[in-house]
Order: sequence, then structure tokens, then C-alpha cells
Amino acid sequence: MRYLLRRIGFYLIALWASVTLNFLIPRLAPGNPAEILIARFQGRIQPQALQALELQFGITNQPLWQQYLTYLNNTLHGNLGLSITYFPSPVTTMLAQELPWTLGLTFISLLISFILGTFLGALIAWRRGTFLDSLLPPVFSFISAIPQFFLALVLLYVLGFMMGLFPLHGGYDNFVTIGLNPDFIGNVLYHSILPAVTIVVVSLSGWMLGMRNAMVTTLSEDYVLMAQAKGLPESQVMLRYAARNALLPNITGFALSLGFVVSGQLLIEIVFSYPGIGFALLQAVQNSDYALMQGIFLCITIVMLIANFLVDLIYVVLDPRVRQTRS
Amino acid sequence: MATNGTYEHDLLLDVRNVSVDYLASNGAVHAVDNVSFTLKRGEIMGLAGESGCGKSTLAYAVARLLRPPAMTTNGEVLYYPRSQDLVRHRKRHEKEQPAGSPVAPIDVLELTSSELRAFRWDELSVVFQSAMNALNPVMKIGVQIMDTLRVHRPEMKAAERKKRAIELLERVGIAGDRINSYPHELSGGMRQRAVIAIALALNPALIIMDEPTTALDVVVQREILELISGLCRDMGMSLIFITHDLSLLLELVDKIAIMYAGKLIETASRDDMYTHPRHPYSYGLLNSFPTIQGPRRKMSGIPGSPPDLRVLPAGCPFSMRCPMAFSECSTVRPSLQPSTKESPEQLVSCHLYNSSFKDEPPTTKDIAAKYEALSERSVAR
Amino acid sequence: MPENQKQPEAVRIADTVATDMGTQIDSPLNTGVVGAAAIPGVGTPSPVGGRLRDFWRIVTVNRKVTIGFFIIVFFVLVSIFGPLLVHQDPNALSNETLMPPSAQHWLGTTQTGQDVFAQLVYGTQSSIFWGFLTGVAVTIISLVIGLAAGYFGGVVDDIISLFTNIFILIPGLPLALVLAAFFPFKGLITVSLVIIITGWPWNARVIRAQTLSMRNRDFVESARANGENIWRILFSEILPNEISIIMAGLIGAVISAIVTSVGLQFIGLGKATDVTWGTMLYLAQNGDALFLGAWWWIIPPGLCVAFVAAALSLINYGVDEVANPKLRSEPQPKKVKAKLAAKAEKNEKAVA
Repeated sequence: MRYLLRRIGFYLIALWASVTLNFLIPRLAPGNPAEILIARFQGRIQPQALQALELQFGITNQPLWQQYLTYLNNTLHGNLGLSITYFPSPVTTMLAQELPWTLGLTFISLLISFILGTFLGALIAWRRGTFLDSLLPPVFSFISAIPQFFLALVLLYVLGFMMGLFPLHGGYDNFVTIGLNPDFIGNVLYHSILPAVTIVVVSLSGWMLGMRNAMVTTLSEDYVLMAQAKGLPESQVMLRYAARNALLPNITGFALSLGFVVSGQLLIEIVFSYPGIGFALLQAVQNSDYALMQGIFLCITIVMLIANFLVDLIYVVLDPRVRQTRS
Repeated sequence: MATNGTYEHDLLLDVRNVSVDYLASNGAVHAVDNVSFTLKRGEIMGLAGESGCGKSTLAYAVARLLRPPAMTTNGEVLYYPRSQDLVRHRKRHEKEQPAGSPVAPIDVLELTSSELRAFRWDELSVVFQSAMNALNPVMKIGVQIMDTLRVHRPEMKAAERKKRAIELLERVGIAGDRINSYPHELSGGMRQRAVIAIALALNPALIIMDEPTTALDVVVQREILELISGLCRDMGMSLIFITHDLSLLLELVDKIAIMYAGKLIETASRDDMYTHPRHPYSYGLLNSFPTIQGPRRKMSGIPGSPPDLRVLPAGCPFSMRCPMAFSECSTVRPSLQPSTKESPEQLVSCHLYNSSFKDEPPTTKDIAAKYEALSERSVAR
Repeated sequence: MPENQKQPEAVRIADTVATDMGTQIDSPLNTGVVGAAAIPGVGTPSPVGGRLRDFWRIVTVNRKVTIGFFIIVFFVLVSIFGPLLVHQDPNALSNETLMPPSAQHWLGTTQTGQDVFAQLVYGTQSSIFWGFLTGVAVTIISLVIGLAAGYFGGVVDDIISLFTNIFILIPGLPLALVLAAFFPFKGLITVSLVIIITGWPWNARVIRAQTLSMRNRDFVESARANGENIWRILFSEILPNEISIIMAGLIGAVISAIVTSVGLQFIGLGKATDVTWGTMLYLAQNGDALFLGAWWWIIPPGLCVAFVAAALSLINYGVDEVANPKLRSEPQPKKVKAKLAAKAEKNEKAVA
């Protein structure tokens, strides 16, 4: 319990830190991006919007700490400003629209690649010295070194363009009516196959190799030998004694790699023009839509914190040693 | 050494000419070289020797628990199952045995994997050296007992399994409610007891204990030893107790086997070994320990260190350190033979007892004198 | 051994007990004998020729390391000598737009008629040089922070660790994007800076862990008890034992720097007039190279990145395998037996 409370405390601090970071970056960057922006839009947007922007970027004469408090207050109330790209939609609306796409894609792909990769890694570690063991690790090492987005490009080209098997961009076709109807859902799934496959292929190797290495160490432990000496069937030994223990460092590794997962996801969305927050972030950057950028960044951070916390929970369930309070 | 029930054969285990090699890419190391011994039902045997002499390797070979790069290259491990288990284990021996005839043994090294799985733990269980490492850290110890019951005794129901697990824990002196504890929640001594409880789960005929008390302090060591000897007495189990600490064995076992550089160099009953160790190495081992009572004397110890198994000399492996070595010792390899006419059951692998080399075998006093002389000389330098 | 060799034998039994109790095999991280030092035959190098020979042995001891090493050498050579040998100007526009590979343009041309092959070679120089530089910078920073946290411990460590963990939590690429978006100058330096700011926490953590365990070792304790200067302790006692971790971290940082910088440039945060692999990809993507079928423009730069990253990873894995023998793919005992038998036969035949 104490372990979990400590972790929650850490996450709260991290949240505060990233909110503050979000606040500080535009204000500390050399040259005043807000002013540039406003100059750019001068004469092209209405005075109220201009005023809103000025307020948002603290082109007020209020002292910094006051701006900070206003900002915190706004954030807590969900007021993240207005997006320029999708003017006049508020940032929160855009986030609500885009987040589910990203979450859906990431969540499913991640789950598939983690489960598959971990299982494969356990399997090839169990059968050392076989053909699989000498073939898969080098192949997958190479694949994992390929930059994700490049693999996405190649797949897009080969399977999408050349062979015409999959759609080339977007989350769904425009002619399908949006809603919870089977047509739409089917269409969505069809569009998500390529991006999902890319994510799975690239991250699979990471899990597989990690699990293999962890298993190799675990398999030389005495308790695995004892499990065999007990005459237990091989599947039980491999799963309940070896894999179950080798899983633990992998889960820690999983938490640490979430950041990379998000980063990779971003690029993949960009390549496939998938309507998630990664793609939106790029558009925001290109359009100097600072409010949306900050909103997305905040959103990503919160999702990360929640994900990390969930992993911590899982770890506590899986490893009984953590539950004991350390003296 | 009580035996309950009648058995077809007094012999339980007959190990013949077992050799184990460690295969490295540049050659094979003979970790165990042509070792043979026998074990009766209900007998407790101690297997002693220095680190690296091959005692653990031998035991694991008998239990077929060797891992690559170790390989059993030769030999048979003949095991005589209890007659009532004939039906369960020996499906492939179809010919009917007339009642009362001696039970045919099975070769453990030749069992198929499913036969081996049935054999394991039911007939032979192992207590590993470090209990902390032998227990699965993420599994409750009750479950670690019960999963053997589940696999080997499918007719038992869950409630019965639980009852048996509690019973086993209490037998080794752990409170029954501990079946829901994880290994890290137990103390060192308790963990060792837990491992012993798991070993007892199926009432095996033979238990191999690999240095079970080495990692424990002396007080706990004593308790565990008393527990073990009590269990053997009550349940009629045979035991192979591996250790480097000879003094432990003298209290516990019926017979002692000593290994050196992968070879079995002496086997004797406990009393014979204590009163007249035949092999100079056995003598050296016995007398490396100071006695609490008795006159103060100079500690002799055994000069030199164990040989590198990759470059063993021709002849007796102990010859270079032996205070009683003579010319044939470094050229002719000795084999395990009865030592003297007075004690032919005490086998020793030493040329001193070979009548073609020496007319008179040395007495214990002769060996003692040579060791004393050795220590005198080393002091004089 | 002659029988009059004197040794304290009675004590040896106690030693045996100690050895038996300490049967836990430490992971390479805990023994302090890691990486190169764990390779048999490589200890303290003999002067000059010795070091070179040791280096050669490290490179050839493991097949993975060898392959990776040679690929990297190839790319480094291209980056140094390539531009001198290529006569085309990568920035020269021409009328031959989007031409497939030909004798004149080995890898075809871009949408604006530029020679792809020339761009690739010049881009190699740029990407590798900046990637390496960035990687080194990240490593140095993480080294300093990790050492400080691990050595000083206590409050200093708590603060630094908190800081590090927060940075690890915040995903790198989005942060890099946001930072780069706010920097008014786009280009190589910005990209590098941004990568440095977001990339240091990983190795800092690893080094901190290693330093912490080193610090409690006896040899460091005795150095402190002797009143040795902090700098001396850090640089002559602790640091040498961490060399292999640092090297592995450096390689990882370079891989990450190269891949991330290409990624950032790909989405448009680099200067379009720079010639790097990343900007090539950016321009190709924006020029719809894929959909126009101009694979020669978009595939080669990506492949180069993949090869460099793969080669560096191979080196890392290979060295890892040498340090931790359990990870090597072991030949099965049957195969070893067969090999030995074959060798024995060969010997017999040779003798006969």
C-alpha cells in the first residue's frame, strides 16, 4: 500500500511539473512567439479573438506569478483556450474528438504486441539452441532498429499504394456515416489495420528480446530446476515458474517504454494521416496553434501518468514482495 | 532404519559406473568418473568431499536433473520400486511377474520423459542447497506443495490437498496457517523446513539433500538435522545427504561415501569410517576438525589444493598431495576394492591396500604418523 | 604440487563454506567486471601494440560486433570521404525532375531535379556527424548527473532522481516537438539541442544505479577513509569500472540521436535547405514521393538510417552477450559432442 501511495505522490508532482513546463515554455522561448503569432494574424481575426489570444499568452502586464495562477486556474477548470487551426473550437473539444482515435489504436496495438512478444520471447528462451532461437532474435533486432515511421512508409507504399490492399490515409472514409453502426466500425477497423500492424511489428521485437533475456536468466534459477524435479508438466514449469518471474522486469520495462510508444505513435499517425492527437499536434505545430499544442501536450502527459499508474498497480498484483513494507 | 511393510528386495538404489562429463567447446571435463555405490531401503548415506569433487553432480545425475553442458556419458542407475507401485510406473514391462519373485529394477537414465515425470518426486525427491533460491518467489508455499499433489495424485480433491499441505508443514515444525505465506515472509530456517516439507509431499522412497544446512547458522542447523533424522526413522525413507562437513555426517548417517576429483575413493559404514578411515584423504578430512574434548594437538590439514579436473595426472588423483604416496601411485590408477581382510565391506580406492604393491596395509596410526610428520616439517620451515 | 607446499589447510574448509554460501551469480552490473574486462584475455593492455590488439580482439570476438563494426566503419568512411568523391552538387537544381535511377543519376532525381545520390552522401556526413555529436553530449550530461546522484546520495540524490523520473515520464518526442516549435530557428542545432534536453534521463538512471552500488564497495570506502579527494575517487576509482556501461549508453544515445533527429526533421522541424537524411525524407514525403512512385527518393535515406541504427544495436547486443555468457545461443550438447568426436577423428587421422 505504501508503495502505491508513494507512486501516486510522485505522479502528482510530475503532473504539476509538466503543467508548469507547459506554462513556461512559450513564455521563455527566445523571441516572443505570441507576439509573432499575433502580428501574423493582425487584421485577419476579430478583435475579441485577438484579445483572447493576448490573454492566453500573457501579453498582459500582469506579473508572471499572477499569470501562472490564472493559467492553473484555467487548466483545472478545463479551459485550455481556443484552437486556431479549428477556430473557434475550444481546445478541449478537439481533444475529445481526437483522443479516442489515438487511445484506441495504441491500446489495441500495444496489447497485441506485448502479449505476442512476451509469449514468443518465453517460447524461444525455453527452446534454447533451436532454429527459432538462432533465427528470430537477430531478425527482430534488425527490425526494431528500423525507425518506426520508415517502416510505416514502406508498408504504406507496398501494401497500400502498390498492392492497393489498404487505405492510404485517414481514420475512416468520408462517405461513411459516423456512428455506432457496423459499417462505420468496420470501416474504422479497416483503416486502422496498417497503422496497427506497423506498431505491432516494431514494438514486438522489443518485448520479445526483453522477455527472452529475462527468461534466460530465470531459467537458470534453482526454483525452475526444482519445479522440473517435482515432475510437473513442462507447460506448467515454463509458465507458472519461469515466465511468471521473468515477466516482472519486463513489466517495469514496459512502463519505462511507454514514453517511446507515445513518440512512435505520433510519427505513425503522421505518416498515415490518422486523426489522432499525434497528427493534430503536428498540424498545431505547423500552424503555430500554440493553444492546441499545449493542450495536446498536457493531455499526453496525463495519459502517460495514468498509464504508468496502471502498470504500477499491475506490478503490485504480480509481485508479492513489493506489498511488504520495507523497513 | 525402520522399514514398514515387507519389500521384495532390500536394495533400493544400485548406481553402476556412472560418469558425467561437462562438455566445453575445447574438450570434456570428467566431473564424475565411473562411480558405483548401492543404497538399501531406509538407509541414510552421506556423500562427502571438497567443493568441486563432483558430489552434487553425481546426485543430480542420479536424479536426472543435470543441465547442459553436463551430460551423463555412461552408467546405469537401477532403482527398485516398491512392489505396490509396479502397476503405476512400469507400464511398459508387460510380462507378468509371478508373485514373490524379486522386483525387476528400472534404469532411471533410460526412462522416457513421461515415465520420468511420474517417477520424479513420487519415488525420489530433492532438497536443494539454498531454500531461498529453490522456492518460487511469487507463489505461496502451500501452492508449491499442492501442485505436486495435483499432478501426481489426481484422485485427491482440493480440500484433501490442503489438509495434506497443512499436515506436512506441521510435521516439519511450521504453523499450518503458513500455507498462504510467500517465501520471502519466512525466516531462513523456516524456508529450509518448507523445502523439506515439499520434498516429503508424496512420501518418496528416496530423498537427496544437497547441503541443506550449509547456509544456516549452527543452532538452526542442529534443529534441521534432528528433524531429518526423526523423519527418516518414522517414515523409513532412504536419504543421500551431501555435504563437505564430515562431522555432520558422523552423527546422522549409516554409511559414508567420500569423493575426490570425481571419483569415489572410499565407502564405509559410519563406525568403520570413524574408527579406521582407510584412505589417507579420508583421514585428512576427518582430522581437519578440532575436537572439543581431548588433548590439544597440532592441526595437520591436507597440503595442496584440489586438482584441476581438466588436467588430471595419470594414476591416483590424490597422489600429489598424499603423505603416503609411493612410486606406483602416480602411474597406476587405483579402483574401489575391499580394504582389509578384517573389514571387507569397507571399500577403498588406494594402492596401500593392494597386496601386489604393499604387503601390509597401513594402520590408522601409520597414517596419523605421516600426517604429523608433515605438519612438523611445515612448521620447521 | 610438491608435498611440502605449505598452505593453511584447516582454514580452507571455512573458505569452502564461504564459497558455498556465496553461490549467487552476480549480474554483470553488480560485479563491476563488465564488458570488455569480462572478455577473456583482455585485461590491462600492454602498451601501444597491445591496446590495438586488444581492440581487434574485442571487435572480432563476437560475430554481431564484427558485422556492426564494419557497417559503421563503412558509413563513417562515406561521411568523411564521400563528399570529396562525389562530383555532383546536391543542391543543384535541374530540369530532370523525378527521374528513376540511371547512369547519370545513380539514385535518380528529386522533384526539383536534384541528384538523390549526391544528397544521400552529403546527408550521411551531416546526419552521422550531428548524431554522434548529440549522442556524446547526451552521454556527458547524463554521466555527470548520474555520478552526482549516485555518489552523493541523500537529499541530492532524491532531488535529482525526482527530476530524472519526471523527465523520463514525459514522452520525448512530443516534448521535443513542442520545444522545437517554440524555438524560432529551425535547423540542425535546434534539433540537437532539443534531443539533448529530452534524452539525458535514460543513461543518467543507469549510471546512477551503477554508481550507487560502486559507492558501497570496499575499495571506495577505503579510498574515502584515506581522505582521497572526491574528484580522484570519482575519476580513478569509480569511473573506470563503469566504462562499459558508459560505452553501451553512448552507443544507445547515438542511435537514439540519429533516429530522433531524422524523425524530427521528417516532420518538418529541420531546415529544408539542409541536406540530411531527415530533410530528404521530409521533402520526399511532402512531394508525395510515395504516391508518385518515386521510391528511389524516399527509400534510400530511410534504409541508411535503418542500417546505421541496426549496426550500432548489433554492437551493443554483441558486447552484451560477451559480458553475459548466458545470453549467447549455446550449441546443444549433442552438437558439441559431435564436434568433439569429429575433432578427435581428425586428430587420429593426422597422427596416422
